[in-house]
Amino acid sequence: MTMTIEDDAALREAFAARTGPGPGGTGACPVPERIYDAARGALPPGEVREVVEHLAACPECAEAWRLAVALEEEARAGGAVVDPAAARRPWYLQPVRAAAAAAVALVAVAVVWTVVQQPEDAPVWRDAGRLEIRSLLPEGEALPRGEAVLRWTPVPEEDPEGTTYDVLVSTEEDPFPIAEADRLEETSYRIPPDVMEAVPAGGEILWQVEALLADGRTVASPTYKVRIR
Amino acid sequence: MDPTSRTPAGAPPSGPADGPGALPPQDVEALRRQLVAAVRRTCPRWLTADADDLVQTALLRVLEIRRKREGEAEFSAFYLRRAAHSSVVDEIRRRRRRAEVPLEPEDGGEPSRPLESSFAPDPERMSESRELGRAITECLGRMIRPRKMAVALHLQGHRIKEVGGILGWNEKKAENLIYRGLADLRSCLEDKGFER
Repeated sequence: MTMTIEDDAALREAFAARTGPGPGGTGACPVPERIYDAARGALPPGEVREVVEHLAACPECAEAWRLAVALEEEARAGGAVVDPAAARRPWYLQPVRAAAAAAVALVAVAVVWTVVQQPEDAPVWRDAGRLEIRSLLPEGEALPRGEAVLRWTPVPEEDPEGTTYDVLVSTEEDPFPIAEADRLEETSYRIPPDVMEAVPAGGEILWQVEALLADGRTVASPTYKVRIR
Repeated sequence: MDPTSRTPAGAPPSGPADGPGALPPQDVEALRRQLVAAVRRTCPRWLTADADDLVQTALLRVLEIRRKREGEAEFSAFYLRRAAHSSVVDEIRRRRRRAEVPLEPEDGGEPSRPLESSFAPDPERMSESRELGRAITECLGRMIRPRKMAVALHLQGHRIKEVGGILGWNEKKAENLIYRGLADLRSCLEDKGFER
């Protein structure tokens, strides 16, 4: 045995190399949509924990989780190209894919994941060249119900001309959006007050922005969570 | 929420029945293009030959939902990625249930390696990894729930802050549980004969 259990990378590689369904067979597995929603932080914490506990024992669901994370991560990094020709470029010509392949070689599964989090937890990407959307809401501050305005950074920050933004707003209790806006040219969105009536005082909303760049690429933000007062 | 995924009324060429939820061919084609990209990023290499079928499956699901909602469904890019992911995961499960794919492929099959990755695993190392992986699963099964969840996500490649965010814990708690959980794991693996 040449692998050493002291090495986190070897443990991760082994965890990803597991095969087969978990106890109870595939019939006991969450549906793929639930795994996808859990992996992108769109489920309540209790349900996410159930999925995580399951994938600890189930290689197939752990695999499904990794696929979901990789897909979301690539979309956030600007890899969600609309043009199929661009998607066919060799992996080594795609910076995100090249980085991902290098990470795979090291630890089998090395994906950067950003989850439902408070605005102060906004991730700081090491690669400054990557496209990203960050929340501009004050850290830890609740939004007033009657003036719930979401704000975010433009993308690309140096030249956002031609970029439009779609916004999805939801709650942890309801998987379907309570509000959405399409093709905004500004980097803010005021949630309609009548929508906010459904959110209890002290309740939280989840929000996410997706930018469509002038060159056809899309960039998704992490899912942010903010309290409503 | 890409504009190409918006769905004005029309009729799909190969989707579910015509009706209020149907789409014009150019919109179906736009949906298909996005699903092709998403499936391509999700599909393991051993499913490459079926990538077109997976796209078609995802497309039919999307069109069916639109039809059921009488044309009022709008598909965000998130939704399309999720549909592509579901299509791929369902197919992986189906193949394995029918034993069309060996659980431990002789070629060192790498279940979650995306289509375009050029990573080529060493079969001997893969074999060692699987043995260690089985032991990890057994050890996780003996762990208390919070440590198990923390370690599982750590082994999935998530950072401490991410683990905390996913499980609804603060960073300190996540770090503590990962640290203690990994210690439990290594101790359990050592008992099973694995070397530090």
